[in-house]
Amino acid sequence: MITLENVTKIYHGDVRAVNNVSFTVPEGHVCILVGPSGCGKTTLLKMINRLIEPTGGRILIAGRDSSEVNADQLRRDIGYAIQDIGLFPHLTVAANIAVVPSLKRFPKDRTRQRVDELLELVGLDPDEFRDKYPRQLSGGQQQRIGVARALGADPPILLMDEPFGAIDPITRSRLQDEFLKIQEKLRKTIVFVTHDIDEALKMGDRIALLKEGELVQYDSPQDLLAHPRNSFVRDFIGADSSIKRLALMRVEEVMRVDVPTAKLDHSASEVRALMEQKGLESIVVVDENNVPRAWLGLSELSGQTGRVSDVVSVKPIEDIAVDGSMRVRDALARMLTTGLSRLSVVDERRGFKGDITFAALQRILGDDAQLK
Amino acid sequence: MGFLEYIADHATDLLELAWEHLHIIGLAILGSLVIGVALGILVSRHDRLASVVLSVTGVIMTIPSLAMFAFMIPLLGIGLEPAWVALTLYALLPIIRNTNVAVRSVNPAMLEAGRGMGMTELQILTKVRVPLALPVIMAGVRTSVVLTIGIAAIAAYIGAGGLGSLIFRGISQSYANPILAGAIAVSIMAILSDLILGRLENWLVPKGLKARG
Repeated sequence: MITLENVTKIYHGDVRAVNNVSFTVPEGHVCILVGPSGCGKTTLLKMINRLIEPTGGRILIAGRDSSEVNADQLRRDIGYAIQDIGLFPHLTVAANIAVVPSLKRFPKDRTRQRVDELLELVGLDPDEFRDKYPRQLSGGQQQRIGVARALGADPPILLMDEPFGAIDPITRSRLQDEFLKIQEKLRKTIVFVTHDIDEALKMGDRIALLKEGELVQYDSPQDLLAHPRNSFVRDFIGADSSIKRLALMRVEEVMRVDVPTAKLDHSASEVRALMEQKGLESIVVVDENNVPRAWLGLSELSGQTGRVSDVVSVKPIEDIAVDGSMRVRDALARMLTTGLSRLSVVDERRGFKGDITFAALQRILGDDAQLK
Repeated sequence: MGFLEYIADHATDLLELAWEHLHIIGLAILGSLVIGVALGILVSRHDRLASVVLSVTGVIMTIPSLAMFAFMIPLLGIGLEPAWVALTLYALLPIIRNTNVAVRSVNPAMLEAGRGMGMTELQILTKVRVPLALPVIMAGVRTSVVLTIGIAAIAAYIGAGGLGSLIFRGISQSYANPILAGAIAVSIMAILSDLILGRLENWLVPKGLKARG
């Protein structure tokens, strides 16, 4: 856990790079420092591991005042990853990752094991990458090694300064997703600097929005979007904040659950009766494993005897359903591109969980519009 | 007598003088290496000291070698001693200058990464700066060695011996062969040294730093 109390940094007499900033990062959370250029986010980050010494206030790490510990020792227990990565070109990938473990005098085989563990964690084959040199790696690979190196001695805290800033957008998105998965596993306390509000909203549990050295708002992404404190916050988030909210939600959070389904082996007349009784225009058809196979319209059933399976044409699941963990914004995009106004929601085993409709999404957006 | 005949006749003489030449430069190169790299590192951390040391060695470089040797004579007599001191002084500048520049100009991202990971200043110096500075330092050493071989030829004039004595002998006798022999021998020595040092540089420089290969 990291607590900042009235942290201030003054340069050359009167330039307040950071002015009286206080907030707490709960253990295991990702806190994003975000704001326009010059807002002091990088200065603030570097005060946590004392690469820059605060002029005023104090920083408590796990309850202890960080200024009371030797700075080099402090940094060996805090992982640090920067935008330019700074991999040592004269060392192999393994030697780079092993830097902090060797500074802490870990035994050699423990270090070797740790290096392989970390390479696997960041998605690189240890046998292939262990003995490579940084110049042989792509930008994305180098950044993964940078993260692995920061995690070398398994520090409880990680500081990251625009680590994905120098990467192309496609790789960046992938790295962000993989990083989130890693964080789910490791639950480190992370402070992450970015200038990109979308990255902040995607990656953060808490967002500290800074402007000219001052903390303007400190909230969860949802609260920041729903209750921006002032016009600066609103402007920084951008005009599409309602769409951004959709990007934060997962489909399983907003789906309808008590949705009737029709089985392939039900009789057509049974299903028709059910639909008429419930006033349904269409219904999702599932197989014996509860996996969605098709949509069925009421009109298709008129005059049909026999089974449902005789009436419908089975479609590939990607065409009619989405995974529950998908972001609502991506589901909206799917609806717009396929022309479907309703999508089934399935779990990891493709079993039907519920559905989501275009009308429901409009309602969410509408609620949001009213909040303004 | 033809040139090639001359060489054949004086082969052992040539080799002895070449060995003498190496003897003269050996101490100077060793001395300048140790002092040069040490001073270069020291000076990279102190700006004011840097400007003093670099200007002094710069001035030394501009003094014509013969004049330098002449200055040494009242202090150290004639022969090897003044030659060693003067040659060491000449050999210093390329090494100090290269070491200073190389150690200072390490990519800041690496220095920041090193500090951020908890390396002490000394560890950053030994684990990051010096290994990364090695290629440029070696380049300075090569320049220095070639320079020293050439200037050592002039040391013969103050009695230090070596291949230069052939050249001066030829001049005083108005005889072309020894002049040619001496000059060619010095040149071959310089070229060979450069090649050998090039190999050494290749061997020393960490694999990760070499250009794509």
